[in-house]
Formats: sequence, C-alpha cells, structure tokens
Amino acid sequence: MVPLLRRFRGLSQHIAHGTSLAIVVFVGTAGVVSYWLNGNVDWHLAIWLSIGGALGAYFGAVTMNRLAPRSLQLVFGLFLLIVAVRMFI
Amino acid sequence: MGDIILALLIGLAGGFAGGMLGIGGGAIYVPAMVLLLDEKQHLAQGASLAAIISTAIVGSLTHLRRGNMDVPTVAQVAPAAVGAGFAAGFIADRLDAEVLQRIFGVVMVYLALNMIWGALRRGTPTTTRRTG
Repeated sequence: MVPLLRRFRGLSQHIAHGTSLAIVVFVGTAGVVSYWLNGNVDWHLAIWLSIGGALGAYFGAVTMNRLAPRSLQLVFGLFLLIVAVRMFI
Repeated sequence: MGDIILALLIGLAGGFAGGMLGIGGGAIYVPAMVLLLDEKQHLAQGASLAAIISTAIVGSLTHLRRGNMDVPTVAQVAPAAVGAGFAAGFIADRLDAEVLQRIFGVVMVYLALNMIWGALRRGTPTTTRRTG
C-alpha cells in the first residue's frame, strides 16, 4: 500500500507510512471479524500479542519520525524484499 | 507462561516494524507464531489480525499526532481497501494458494527493488509532496 500511496496520491514516504497504517485499522477489523466468525482466532494468544504489538507500534512510529525519507525508503524496500523472498521458500 | 512472554516479544517486534513501516505487522506475527509457538497457520493468521488492530490503532494515532497522516486519503481509500480485502479473500478461496503466492511474490520483488533503487540513487528527491 505504501508504494501505491506514494505513486497515486503523491504522498511523502513518512506520510504514506502513517496513512497506510490508518487504513490497516479498517482492513484488519474486517479481517478479524471474518476469522472470528469462523472460529479461527486464538484469543488467549491474540491478547498478549496485541499488548506487545501496541507497545512496539508506539516505539516504531516514534523511530520512523527520526529517520530521513531516503533511509526509511531503504528500510521499507529491504523489508519488502525479505517478505517477498520468503514467499518463494 | 513461556508462551505469554514469547507472544509479548513477538508482538513487540512485529509492532515496532508495523508502526515504523506502516504495515500491520502480520508479516512478522504469522511466521513467528508458526515457528516459535507451533501455532497452526490459520489460527496464527487469526491472532495476527486481532493484534494488527491494536498495533495499527496505536501506531496511526502516534503518526497522526506527529503530522504523518493524510486524513482525506484515509477516508477515500479505507472503504475500497476493506472491499478489496473481502474480494481477495473470496477469490483466494477459489484459487491455488501457491500460484497466488508466487504472483504476489513477483510483484513484491519488483516493488522492493524499485524502492531500494530509488533510495540508493543519488540526487533524486524521495519526497514529492508533503501534506497533512
């Protein structure tokens, strides 16, 4: 979503990341509802994961603010590459 | 108890990446739970989606406070993204998961290399417009 937001909405790297994350709130909510209805959510695990995730997200967002656009773009590109390569393994 | 601590740590790592990169963190949550907690793939995806909500809410509120969000884009894109998410789930049910994953993988490699190349090229502005 970040590359699409940059290309089609002309957003800067930083703003594209923040905007993407806000959209994820809605997509994630829709997703969890469908998994929940099918009984595929392990809530015991989800709660602890969520607590860690919320803390991590705060520090991640603060860290992002300190990175230059170019460094942020590089980190994002490398992360995307790792995730993509994992798909072939 | 060990599982709880591990889940918290996976949450911290995925949340950090998610908050920084503007993704939910699922790319870290799901494989980490499958590998470290021996969780089944579809249950890992369910727990990951639940955690993505708290990750994305805290992360995006932090970004909003720091001016890193284009709110009109959120309002315009979010409904389409939710619709696309449902449609993708519907289509994915009828397609070979492995083929789908490979197609998606190729697109992602292209996008990743494009971004890395853009970041490494000298003298090219990486920002076009700052709004919000």
